[in-house]
Amino acid sequence: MNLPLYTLSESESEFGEVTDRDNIITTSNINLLHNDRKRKNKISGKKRKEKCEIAAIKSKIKDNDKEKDTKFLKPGECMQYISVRIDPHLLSANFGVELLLALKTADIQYDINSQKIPHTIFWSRKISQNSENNSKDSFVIIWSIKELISLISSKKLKSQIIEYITRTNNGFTLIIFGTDEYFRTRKKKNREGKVNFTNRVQLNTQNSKQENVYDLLNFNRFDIETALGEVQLLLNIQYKFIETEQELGLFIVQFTKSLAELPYKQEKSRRQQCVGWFATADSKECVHVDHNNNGLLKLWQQQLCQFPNIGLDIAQAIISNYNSPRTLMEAYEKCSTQKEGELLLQNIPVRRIQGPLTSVRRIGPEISKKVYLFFNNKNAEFSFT
Amino acid sequence: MNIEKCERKRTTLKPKCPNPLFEKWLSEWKKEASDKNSDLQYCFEKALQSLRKYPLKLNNGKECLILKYFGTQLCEKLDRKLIEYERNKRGYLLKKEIIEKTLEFINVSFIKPDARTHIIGNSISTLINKGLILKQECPAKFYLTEEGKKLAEELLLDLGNDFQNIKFSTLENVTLLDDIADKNVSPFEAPVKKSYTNLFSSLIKNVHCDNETSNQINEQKILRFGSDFILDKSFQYSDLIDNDDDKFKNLPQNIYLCKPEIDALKKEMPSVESINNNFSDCAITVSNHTDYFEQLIFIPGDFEIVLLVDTQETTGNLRSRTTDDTIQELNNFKTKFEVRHLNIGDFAWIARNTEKKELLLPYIVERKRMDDLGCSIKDGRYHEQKFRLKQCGLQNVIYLIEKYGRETKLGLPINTLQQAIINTQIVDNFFIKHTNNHAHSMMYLSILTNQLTDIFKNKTLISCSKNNLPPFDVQDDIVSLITYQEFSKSSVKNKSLKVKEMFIKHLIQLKGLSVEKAVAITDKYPTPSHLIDTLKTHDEPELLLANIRYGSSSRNIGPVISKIIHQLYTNKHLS
Repeated sequence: MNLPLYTLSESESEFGEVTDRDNIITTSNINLLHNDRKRKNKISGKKRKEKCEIAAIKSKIKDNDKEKDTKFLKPGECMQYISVRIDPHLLSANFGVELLLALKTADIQYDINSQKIPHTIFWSRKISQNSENNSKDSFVIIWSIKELISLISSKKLKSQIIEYITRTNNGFTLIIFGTDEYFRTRKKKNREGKVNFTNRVQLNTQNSKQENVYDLLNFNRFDIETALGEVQLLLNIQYKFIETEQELGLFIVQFTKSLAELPYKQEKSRRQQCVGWFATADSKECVHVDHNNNGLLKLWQQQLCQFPNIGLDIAQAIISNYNSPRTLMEAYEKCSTQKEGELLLQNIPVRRIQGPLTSVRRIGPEISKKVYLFFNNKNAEFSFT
Repeated sequence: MNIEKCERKRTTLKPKCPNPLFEKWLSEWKKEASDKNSDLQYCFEKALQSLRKYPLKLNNGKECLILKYFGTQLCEKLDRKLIEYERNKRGYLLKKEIIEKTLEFINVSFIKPDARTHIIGNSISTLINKGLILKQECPAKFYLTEEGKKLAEELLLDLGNDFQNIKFSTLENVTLLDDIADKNVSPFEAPVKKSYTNLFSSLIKNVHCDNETSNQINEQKILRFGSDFILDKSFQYSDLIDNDDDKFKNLPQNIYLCKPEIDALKKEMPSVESINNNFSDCAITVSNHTDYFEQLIFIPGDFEIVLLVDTQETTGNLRSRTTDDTIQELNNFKTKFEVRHLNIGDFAWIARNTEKKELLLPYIVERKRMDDLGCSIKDGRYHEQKFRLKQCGLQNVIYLIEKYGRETKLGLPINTLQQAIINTQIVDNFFIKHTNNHAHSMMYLSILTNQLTDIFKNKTLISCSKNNLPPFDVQDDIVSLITYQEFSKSSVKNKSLKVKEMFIKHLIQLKGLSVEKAVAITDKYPTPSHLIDTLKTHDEPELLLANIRYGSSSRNIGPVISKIIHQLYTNKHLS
């Protein structure tokens, strides 16, 4: 009862969304076909919740007459309103084709335009019929590992990034492509070089000048991490290493989806943050009460379980004596002094089944006092320490 | 063939007299005791015999405990004598020894500790000025000069043993000292016992010892609340205990006490608790979080940056601490780190100054292996953890995602996890770092630690409370940081709740009652007793809550929920 679990809908959302995206990656669908019933129920529950959300938004639309704007925020539909702009330089790289393919499969609109900054992808979201808006993460810059290394070695990395920051006007995410491959080939070349000294010399003369420079530079992962660490701490830029083209395509699609749903999620988290603790976690096992008032007792019991030291056994013990909050309040009113009220519950026996040694212990003065203070204190800021 | 057996004898080296000093002193004391006809002489005799039988050198009094007839008292006496002897051999005294010895001779309970050392210091300077003591070297060593020695001997002759027994607790004895002052004498036997005359004359000048003083000091301590409180000496404790409403209304609304004051208050007035409960509106709110917030300022160069590793990141066993992976890896990179229990997060950085005060750098790392991530999403811990990370007061959250195992066995499809990670980056604004394995993660942390050390070494750090933290900019030369203590306290998982918060918790147990709705309800009826009272007296209790608006959408809570809550708190019998 005291586990920090939260409503099903929260946990569903992470993978429930994937199932909605039938048009994205088919492998995920295959995985889901092997699901157990539980997950299916969760998904349908999530769909139910989504419907409620949509209904809620629709009613809001009727109230507020801002029909056009909210349509763009709905999780099911927002993907249609996000557009992706790709710089043509990226297409010429080896991952270009795969990238476009992934976007097409995900049904995301894109166009290819020369951007202000080379090698970038830019996102833009339509929030109403006429206006567009971009958020902080709207840019992604893709560099190959060699470009990165050249910048590090010429010590121009930071200045280049600072320039891009000012040009993009908000931050961006940096993707470094092909690191593992690079290290693998370098290792191989070094090994070949070591084995055959003369061959190495030959290799050097055979390769193009550019490649030559990069191979001879003694960069290892540590140096790259150090340089990027500086970028992270001083310039606040996120970066990610991506190795294969498929990965890149998938990343861009997922990034698009995330951006599309950003306003919706921000709204949701704003609603959750109105209290100081993660309260949504406390209503994981909420009690349903129907119109015949069935379930009220369970609700009362669950409420009692919210006290930190009160478990199911103590709650049941209290309920056996005081069937409803009303009866408890009346009992408190009958007490002549505060002290008596505080100790009202202390002697109620709590059944603890331990096999042959069924011991009976009582609720105790501490818990009794806490319950009393909760129900009788007029001071909302009073703290149970 | 005969093997000649060489006769070997064992020779023992026995020093003739291994403990000459102790023997000498014991015989002296024995003689004293026998002169006084005290029974102590037999004790000393037995001890002496026992000591003579022991062949090895004993270094101090405590070691004598092993011998029979040596008890703790005797050993302590020997120790003291030994210290004096050493000292006399040495020929000088340090300042703190002077102070110690001085304090043995006066009853100064009514003088504050700071004043005492000050007065003694003055006396010492007077003696130096008179040429009776020499001060040399650093740390200061005080030697008796020739003159000083002469005077000391004179004084000893004059007063003999009586001098040791004088306790200066009343003013009458001061007159005796005035006589001594006239003779211009100094303490005898070494500048241990200082110039009583000088001391006491200054005592009389500086300290106004009335009989009231002790009571006054207590009163002042307790009455020193807040800033608005009037130091009313006529304010008696008994009034507080009498639960006099009127008296209370004159108090300012919230008086925050710090912990030492709370303790003092509790000692004097044991019923503070009841005051709290009875007078909610104008109670003395003994606040927990103003635990004497002192402002810390760290100047550049005065502090070091240390990586804090949560205990759960290392294996639990103390023995395996040396072989633990995390620790080994970090040691490889020669990173300064410390293992400590963190209430939230897996790694953090502190700036620690020479006084061992600690401030937290505004970075916190949560390390998640891919399988962990899958599990926590399924459990539901994922969102709660992220929430707590955002609330902890450290503005830059780094999510360290470590690759682990096969992609198919992570509990959730790999794409789901990847989407979750990207969502975390975009929605929650955490910095995401992917690493390939544990060693890679530790390398990353070491790199960050080095870079943070470089970045912060020229900055000035100021402590700040969590509520007032300004946004952190790495380019600033002066940064405000929270203290480690505050971070620990505020990020505890199950904080104690207030009545209103507990009420919200109760309300959201009902399906259909979201956090927003509960907040709207408690804004109007902060405690259950408010709600229940209103329900009793209202003419339309079923619809009491129906028209309360909640959230930004200004929707109503609705009649259904309103009815259920009404039934819950009104029906006498629930099913």
